[in-house]
Amino acid sequence: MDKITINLLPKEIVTQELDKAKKNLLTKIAVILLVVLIVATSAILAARIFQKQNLDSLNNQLAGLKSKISALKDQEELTFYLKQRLTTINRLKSDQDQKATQSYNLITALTPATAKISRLSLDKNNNIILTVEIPDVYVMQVFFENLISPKINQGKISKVRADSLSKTPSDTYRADLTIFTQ
Amino acid sequence: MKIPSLPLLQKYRGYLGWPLASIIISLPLLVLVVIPQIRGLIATYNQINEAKNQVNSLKNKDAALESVNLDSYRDNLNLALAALPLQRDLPSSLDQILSLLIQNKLQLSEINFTNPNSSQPANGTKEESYQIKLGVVGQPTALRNFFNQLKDTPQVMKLTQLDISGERGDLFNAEVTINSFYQAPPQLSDNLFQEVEGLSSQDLELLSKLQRTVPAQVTVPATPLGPRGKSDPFK
Repeated sequence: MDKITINLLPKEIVTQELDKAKKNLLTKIAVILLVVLIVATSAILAARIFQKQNLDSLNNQLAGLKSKISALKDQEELTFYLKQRLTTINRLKSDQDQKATQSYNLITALTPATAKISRLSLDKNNNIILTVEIPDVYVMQVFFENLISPKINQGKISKVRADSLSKTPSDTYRADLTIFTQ
Repeated sequence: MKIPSLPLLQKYRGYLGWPLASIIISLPLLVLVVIPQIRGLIATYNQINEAKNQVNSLKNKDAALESVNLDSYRDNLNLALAALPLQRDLPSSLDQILSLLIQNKLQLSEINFTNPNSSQPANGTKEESYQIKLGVVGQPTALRNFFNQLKDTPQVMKLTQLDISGERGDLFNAEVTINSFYQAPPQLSDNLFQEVEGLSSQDLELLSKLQRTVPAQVTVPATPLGPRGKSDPFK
């Protein structure tokens, strides 16, 4: 069964009551917003005071540490000098920096025992200018293969240029080579 | 002049009391207090973070420096200075080269010195070197041993140029250019926050190697003692 509701209040009173309710709601909202703003402002101010204290304490700590470290100047200098010097020595002693010795070792290792080096020069770029006497064609083939095969020379030779190749009166071969190292 | 009536304002006059008061109080509070304080809050937060980082960095540095054993570091620095002197140490370089030549039964036919970097002022930022040019005669294997042992001399030396000729039977004539290195003391930065770099495993390995190769009596005095003759043979 449907409910039947009957409002017997006069229309003017209903309108007044509605207005009053709206007014109350607006007042409540305004007061709540004001209170929230005041509370937020207080919280921000409290946070600022807390931050200031925190910062002051950190600054004091920092000043203490600075004076402590200034007193350890001897240790700092010593560690700095030692570290810097060891880094330089490590770099200079590294294989990368000892290329001339490496190039020389490489060539002497790649030259067959029966071939005779008659001249070997290393220039500033560690390229090798080599004059070698080779007893026969077979040894020459082995030697050239050693020089040009990256598997044998471990990729340390980028290019080999034969400047001259001649046969000597003693039936040996004489080769002038420029070897470019990597 | 007649002011026009505002019927809407008249109608809602009763509603505006508290909201208006709220706006009048809130606006100055927001503009004059809340917004500047929030800006300050952010700026101080950044300052605190920066200060925290600085404190941590200095604490680490302090701990690192406190753990430094001055005596041991001085000994290690002496070893490093024997390997890479503060200035040209020609007698020591020559001594080590001649020892190697004798050890490998190589003959010294000539020797001279040049200093490619003599015109540059020593500032310690980079190593400098002078050249020792040698004329050497000997067996090829002896030469190879000499070059390889040169890498392991106490003082840092490097073979830079080489010219070998084998015109004398089994003996080779070699013109060898060796660079001997030195480095002036570096300038320590005034920056307190500069990190202290500890010794790496590579450094420790180098130090133990130097301990084996550098003669025990080598110590480098802070200031030269007594008359030492001509300090720079190039001048």
